[in-house]
Amino acid sequence: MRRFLYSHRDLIALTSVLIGVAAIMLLLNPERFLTLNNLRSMAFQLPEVGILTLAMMVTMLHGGINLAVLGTAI
Amino acid sequence: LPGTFPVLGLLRIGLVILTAWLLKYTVLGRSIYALGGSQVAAVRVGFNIFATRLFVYAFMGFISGFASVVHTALVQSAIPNSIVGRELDIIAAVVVGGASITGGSGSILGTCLGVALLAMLGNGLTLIGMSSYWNNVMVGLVLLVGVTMSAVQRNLQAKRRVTNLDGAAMMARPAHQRGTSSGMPLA
Repeated sequence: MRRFLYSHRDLIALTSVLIGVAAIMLLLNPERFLTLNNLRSMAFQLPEVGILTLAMMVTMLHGGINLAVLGTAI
Repeated sequence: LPGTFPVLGLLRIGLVILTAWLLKYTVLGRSIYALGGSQVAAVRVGFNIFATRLFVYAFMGFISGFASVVHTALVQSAIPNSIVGRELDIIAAVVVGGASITGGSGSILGTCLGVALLAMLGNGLTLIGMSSYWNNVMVGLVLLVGVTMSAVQRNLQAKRRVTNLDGAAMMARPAHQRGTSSGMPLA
């Protein structure tokens, strides 16, 4: 268990930062952040950047970088 | 909740699963990791560098094609320069997700979390009422913090490895020579 936690400590730190940001946003704007409409609009905007990020991640894993990813996309 | 989850999200989930399977369970994916870690070592192990590199950039084009379909579906028109300038967001999401810029380490799950973090930050700041000019500032700040943290961590790891090597070298010497380097007799 400890070994699992240690090997995934980056992901755990990232998840806690995510939860912290969500909590701050919720505290600062409680009546609009956690509404269905807002979550839906986030779910509409996410896939574009998410798919482009997949493309960029594979390129960066192999050691290179391709800044023309948007030029390829359009 | 019928009708609330967009079809484009399903497409993205499918692509994430495809990429994760490719990176984890195929020889090709492993060779991408190996090439990113050390090119010389990958050549000596026997991976085909040219084929791997060709595949990486071709795969990038394949996924970019899906992204362009998604973008066209979102804005419902084809504008040639409508998403130019979003490279910073993409690179920030990848780097925040734990992938190293020099290659060799990183995971799909971390990348997805990085994208979620950036999206939540931008959306939340807009809802709070900040001007959208500050959005880029926050993205840059997140990128800076992510890069700094990973660099500091790598430095710490390198230092720890060096001290471990020192300890191992000291223990490997014959017993009557052990204390000489540190000035403190051990036995």
